[in-house]
Amino acid sequence: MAFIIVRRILRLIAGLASIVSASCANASEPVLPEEVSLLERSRAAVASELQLMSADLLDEFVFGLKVNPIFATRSNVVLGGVNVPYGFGAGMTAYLENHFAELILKNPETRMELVHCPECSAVVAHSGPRATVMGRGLRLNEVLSSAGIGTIAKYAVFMDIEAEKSQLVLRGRITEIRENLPIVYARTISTSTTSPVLLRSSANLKSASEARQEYLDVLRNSPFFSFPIRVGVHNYAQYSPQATDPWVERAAGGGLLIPPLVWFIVGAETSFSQSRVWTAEFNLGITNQIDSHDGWLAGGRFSRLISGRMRSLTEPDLYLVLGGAVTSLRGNTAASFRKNSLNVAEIIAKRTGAQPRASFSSFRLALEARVKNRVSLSAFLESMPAFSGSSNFGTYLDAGLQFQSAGMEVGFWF
Amino acid sequence: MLLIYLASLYIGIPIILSGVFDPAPGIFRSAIETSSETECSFLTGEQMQRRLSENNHEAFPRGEIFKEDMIECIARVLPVTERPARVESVLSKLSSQIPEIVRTAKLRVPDKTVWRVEAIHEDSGVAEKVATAAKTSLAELRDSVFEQAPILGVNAVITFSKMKMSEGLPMLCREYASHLGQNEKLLALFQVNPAETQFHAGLCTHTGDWQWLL
Repeated sequence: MAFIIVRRILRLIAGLASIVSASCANASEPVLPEEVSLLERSRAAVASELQLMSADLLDEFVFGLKVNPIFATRSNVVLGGVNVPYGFGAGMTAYLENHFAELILKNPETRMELVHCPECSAVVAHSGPRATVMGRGLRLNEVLSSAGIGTIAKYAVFMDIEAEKSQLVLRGRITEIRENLPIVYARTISTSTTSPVLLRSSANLKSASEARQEYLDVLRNSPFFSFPIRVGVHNYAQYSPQATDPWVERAAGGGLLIPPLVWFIVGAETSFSQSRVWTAEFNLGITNQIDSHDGWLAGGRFSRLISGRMRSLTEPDLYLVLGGAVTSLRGNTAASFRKNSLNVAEIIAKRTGAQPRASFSSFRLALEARVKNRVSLSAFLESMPAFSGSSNFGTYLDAGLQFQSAGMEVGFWF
Repeated sequence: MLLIYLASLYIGIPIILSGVFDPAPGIFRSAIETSSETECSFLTGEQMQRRLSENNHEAFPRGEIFKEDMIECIARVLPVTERPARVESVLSKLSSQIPEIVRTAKLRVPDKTVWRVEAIHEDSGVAEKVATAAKTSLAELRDSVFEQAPILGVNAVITFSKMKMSEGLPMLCREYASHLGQNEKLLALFQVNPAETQFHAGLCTHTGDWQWLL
């Protein structure tokens, strides 16, 4: 309930913001070169997506001919024409013609033999006793008989692809090559922007449902656990009683300077669903620097995907991470991990050879970018409540909760 | 305190960032962008219930406090501004408008009719798309259809272009008649008024008789 109320308040604020921004906008502003460039990039992205969707429709069209061939025997076929969506040019036409040819070559079960026919697509003018007409060779009855196109192939394939709101529609026809081109086969197929492109292999063409099932099987068979290995550097803010800005503290000097710790961490991560929107991880880490310190940590973390609704197979993903850990340190560096300054007993203990020890808990807030769940880079802020108000630590961020540590980690997944 | 603080950050940031992917107008998207890039429609009560159950939405025990309408927005293949408005208005309705005209035409002719199709539009690219949609619809209904429309001489086309549509179409039909066989009918698709987005249709027989369909 509280969640819905918060969401509604946010939407109300968003609505007010859009009204204000709309009222301030100046409609007569000239278009900047950067905006033109942005528009071109956006158009290229649309064209790229459109090509994939069109190829998907061709796959489905040829798959239909493969499962239910319309010819009893192997027959010569001419590609009569591919009409791409209105406004798109010859580049896309060439791509789709090539893709169709590849599909026909790799799927002989269609019983179609694609033949080249330059006379079919050439624009010709024909003067007869009744009129002078112009058109492509295949579409002029007079040219069909005189140029002998009917002897090259018996059938012609025509395809038209058009974008209709959220759907891309393919209309395919196969005609006999004789007077007026009688249609012997027609099929309309559509795909929606709501369904992902299946990217089927041209050889061994599968139906849309089989391809989708194969895709789901691959996802379902992905391992339940993955094992990240991370190397990270933890920096600790320097304390300064005079300065108010924590970043100025470091430059100004003043308090104890705690050396950064390098951690080597291994973990086991699992996700709650195949979309990997939420993941959980348990991890163990060690740190060691000769004559300075050694230590271990044990912790866990939850990650929430914030860059999309599911893990992307092609783009980097961004996660928001919340974690906690218990850390134990031994050695000279450990002496700094305390709330107050060293007392006499501790100084005596150090002289007698006993090593300082420190154990503390920490909470982490991080942003992690992952590429295909193989490598990652994260930046984090860490809060150590035991050292809140300590004269040994400064803070990088004090927002009610003090974050005394900050750092970065590089991770590799196995 | 610590846990409340971290939890509020953890829940709040994803909610704000989810606005980036929300197709509704807001901070990240203007109303114009939304209507240009998506196709939105109000859901009926039944559709709404189905969507809610798909998303495991649980009703509150004492009923909903806020009365909600649900709008479903699907991304368009091409932004609405990509093509001229008149072209977009025709092409975006091909699958809904043309099969309806084809069904009407079929009711007016005998079963063994062989179809020829011609579409008339100021943009030849659009005309070809409309004719293709009609031919494919007819062929899918297992009617005999010729891919090729009769090709008229240049003089007839020039004469037609100078006439009003209501007078030009019967004249054009007489020109087409000499190209049509006994069982053949020409289905002509056209817009009477350049400002309208609806296509009209007429039938032309081998005797040169013109019949308005709708």
